Amino acid sequence: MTLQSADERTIIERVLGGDTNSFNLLVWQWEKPIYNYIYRMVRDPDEAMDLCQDSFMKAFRELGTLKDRDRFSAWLYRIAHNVCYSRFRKNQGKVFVELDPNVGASRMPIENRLAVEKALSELPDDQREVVVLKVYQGLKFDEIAAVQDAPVSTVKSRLYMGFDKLKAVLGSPALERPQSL
Amino acid sequence: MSHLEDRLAEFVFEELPDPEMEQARRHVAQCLECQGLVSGFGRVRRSLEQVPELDVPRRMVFVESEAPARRSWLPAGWLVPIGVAAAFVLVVLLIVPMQLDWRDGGVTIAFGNMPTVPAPAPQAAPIQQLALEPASIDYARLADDVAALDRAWLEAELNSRLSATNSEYQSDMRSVRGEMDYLVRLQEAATRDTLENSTNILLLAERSQ
Repeated sequence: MTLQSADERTIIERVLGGDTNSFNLLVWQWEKPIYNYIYRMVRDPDEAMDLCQDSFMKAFRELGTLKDRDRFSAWLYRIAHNVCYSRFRKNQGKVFVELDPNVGASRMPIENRLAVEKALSELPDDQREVVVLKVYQGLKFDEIAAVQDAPVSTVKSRLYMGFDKLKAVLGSPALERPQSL
Repeated sequence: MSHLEDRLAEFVFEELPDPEMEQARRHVAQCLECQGLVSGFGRVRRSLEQVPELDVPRRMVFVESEAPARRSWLPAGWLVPIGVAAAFVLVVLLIVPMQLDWRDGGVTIAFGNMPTVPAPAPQAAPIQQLALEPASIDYARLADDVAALDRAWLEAELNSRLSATNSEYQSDMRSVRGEMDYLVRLQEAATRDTLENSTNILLLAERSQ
């Protein structure tokens, strides 16, 4: 079940009217995508959870400043973006944690999954963010531009640069899932 | 039509406007160069998409806090005048020559130079003679005192634990109430969806007949 934007608008009105519990419907709808976006940015599941909570707290506090209530998701991603980049600034120069091979077990061979995650983690933050928002979160280019506060042309060139680097590591057909699976 | 070039990403993610998308498809079908680019782009995309989404490790529930906001004992408007007054007193104390004298349990503060008064000669303190006499010890009274102290301590401990338990209970109840409200909302949303779906199914059934 997904909430349509009309439903989201109604829920936002209710929250702004003082019904705090209605905000949980928005949390329930968006916590997984936002958590996954943050996890792919910070690569640490525990920290991603903390930052995810921070993002929703901030969203709750600043909900009144949301002008276009039909664009709640883009606004929420923008908040999560700010939370991530604030964390990047704070941790500048620190070594990131190793990727945990047990996180998100799938049918994909573990060495391939690690290769993908490692290649992604080596991209610069702005390029990785475009790739994550485009490939995993399915945002449109203009929505990513709003999240990054950058022109669409910049977003597209970040995607091309990111994909060029990833192609060098992931372009091999061996890393693709066999068609029979 | 020309090569895809900077429209490659929009083509792969199908974000080109419909007529342009159709033209691009026709072009790619007959252009080996663009086919190579689309294929390389698509391969990277498919590799990335194989990494699964994670489940959220713990769910979040927002519960309204009933804790009252802490109030300052002094209105904020008073802080500036009080600060100015304190700074003035400090400056006076630092600039004006002042003497402070504490004698015989009394304090004398003098501005300017205070005449020196010779201190009286110390008197010899009287020596109190303590008689060392054997005294009988009242063990029963000591035991009563200790028991009374124990009782008082136990009562205080019990009261403090009772109040802590009450506060935890209240907090738990608030949390449970919040979760219940949340579940009710979820149920409402699910019911609404079910109704919508049922209506749609009925409409489709009517149309197909």
